[in-house]
Amino acid sequence: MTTRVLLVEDEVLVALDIAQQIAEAGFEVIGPATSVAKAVALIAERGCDLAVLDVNLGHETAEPIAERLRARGTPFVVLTAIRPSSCRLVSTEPQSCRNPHFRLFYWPPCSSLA
Amino acid sequence: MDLNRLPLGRPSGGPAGGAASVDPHAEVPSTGDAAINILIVDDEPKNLTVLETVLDDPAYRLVRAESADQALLALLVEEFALLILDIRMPGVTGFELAQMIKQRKKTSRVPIIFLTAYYNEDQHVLEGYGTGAVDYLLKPVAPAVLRSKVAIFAELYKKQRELELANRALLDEVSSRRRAEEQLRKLNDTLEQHVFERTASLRLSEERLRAIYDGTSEYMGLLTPDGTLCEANRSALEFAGSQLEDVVGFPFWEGVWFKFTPGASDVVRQAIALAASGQQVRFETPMTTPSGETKTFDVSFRPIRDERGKVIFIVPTALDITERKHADDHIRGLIKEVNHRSKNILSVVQAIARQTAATSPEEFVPRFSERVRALAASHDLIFQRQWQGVEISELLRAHLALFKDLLDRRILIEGPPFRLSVPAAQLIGMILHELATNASKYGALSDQVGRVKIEWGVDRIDGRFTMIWVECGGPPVLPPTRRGFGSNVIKSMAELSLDGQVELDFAPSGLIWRLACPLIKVYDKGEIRVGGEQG
Repeated sequence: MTTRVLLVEDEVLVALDIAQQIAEAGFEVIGPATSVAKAVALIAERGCDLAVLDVNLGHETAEPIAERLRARGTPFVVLTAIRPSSCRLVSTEPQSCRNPHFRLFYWPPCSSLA
Repeated sequence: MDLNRLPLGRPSGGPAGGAASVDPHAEVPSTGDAAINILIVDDEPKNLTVLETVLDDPAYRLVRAESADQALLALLVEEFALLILDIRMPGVTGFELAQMIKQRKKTSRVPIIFLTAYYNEDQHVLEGYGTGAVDYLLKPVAPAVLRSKVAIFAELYKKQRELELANRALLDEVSSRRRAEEQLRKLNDTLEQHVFERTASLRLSEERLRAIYDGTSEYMGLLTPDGTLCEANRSALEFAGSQLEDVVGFPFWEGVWFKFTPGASDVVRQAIALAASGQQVRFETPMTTPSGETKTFDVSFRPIRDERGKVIFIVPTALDITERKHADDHIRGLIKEVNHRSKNILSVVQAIARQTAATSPEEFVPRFSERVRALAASHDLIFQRQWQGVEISELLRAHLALFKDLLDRRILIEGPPFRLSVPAAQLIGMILHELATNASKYGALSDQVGRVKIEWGVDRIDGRFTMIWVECGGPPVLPPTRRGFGSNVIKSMAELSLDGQVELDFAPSGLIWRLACPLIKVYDKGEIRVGGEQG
């Protein structure tokens, strides 16, 4: 069974691009979701094994999604263009040092997900 | 004339000693101390000589006249205290002469002593004169009587002269005093004028300073170094809703200005203490106004020193910088937003590059450039509208600029005025670019006859926005052999972004693209009403 990756990204073109890369890397893409509500609904309906989160989603942030994922024990990757110091999602991540699943990517430049 | 009756032994300066002949150029004595002029008139020189002898006195100056003519001549050139006049004279008599003298204004008051014989009826005539200025003596003249009478007239004249002099002096004094008073009055007037002008100019300058002081939107006041309020300008009083007399004389920190902001009173008190010690205090602080608004103020307490450097006043000022602050915050927000957006754009460009490279590597550079240019065109429009949304027809014209000759001929545009939100404008811009590129390569715009019709509309009841791109009359359409970036944009992207449905029909007569999505996803909030009414 292929690993199912939830993709959360509000910039649709970027989302499609990343989705394509995830798919080409051999994963199943859940989404992409462009808002917190859609992401939360997708987690509830379809679940996921891994998540790729953009931090700023229009007027909201991915923080509530991260909380769900933590509660489920689902690892996630944060993809952001903003500095970690101004990113609450990153700076408050309690497992950031110990959680082997947590990695931080800056975007751009794009990092390979493979 | 009886010489025997002359007193003996009386010193005499000789017959001619005290006398002077008539001299028209003789000087008129002007002071009371000078000899008194007496004109003696007799046709008999001997009699004149007798008179001279009798009246020989350094106090007298006798002028002889032997006829009425000589007498008149003498009277013309000199002033006389007394006339001694013989009545009986050939030609003009003494009476006639006296009459002439009395008629002349200048000499009318000169006293006259007539000399007349006892037996003569002249006496009656003389009594007829009856005036104090005229007297008579009977001949032969008794020297003592003559001297006594002359002395009286001389004394009278002298007194009169003195009186005149005194009077003249008095008049001089009065007039010089009047002159002095006049000068004083003029000086006073000038001074008053100066005072008036100075007052007026002071008032003007005061009015001007007042106008600045009361006209400025800055809140201003004046404090003594202990913080007692002496002055507050109109802005400050209006802020507090107070009259000047209600606030003057009280400690500034107790003023209405600080009542609504907890802790402000203490801050002001400390600031005054610092300013009183000579420091300039300036800070920004939020404060609550009496009307309950919270505003930001640029507050300053500036010490004012006298020439010895002692602080004599403190000038407190406050400027409402709330709007500037908001503008600053807005700019900071904008900069953050610009940073975010530019990174976003880079992501989009990166995605376009990757997608273009993946789907049409053989013509990467032109396709990529076109897509970036289309992105730029949307951006220009959005920027021109200051991120306030873009009219859909403008967006269409911008992206169909390459085909502007065909507009309204082979490309028909139809729909109500509708303003797209910024993200929708970006997306629909990209879609239009892909559709137009496709049409020009394979579809209705690739030959000379094909047509494109673009329509949009709003269903107010369902709250749906629809847009349709229909091609016809072009070369027969073949479905694409693979799904490229373009179809990704016009279908997946549109559906994902707008929560809508896209129908893509590669009908042989021409491509049909149809979008339906919630109105809320595409409208610019300011313009829903217009689009809704017309849709």
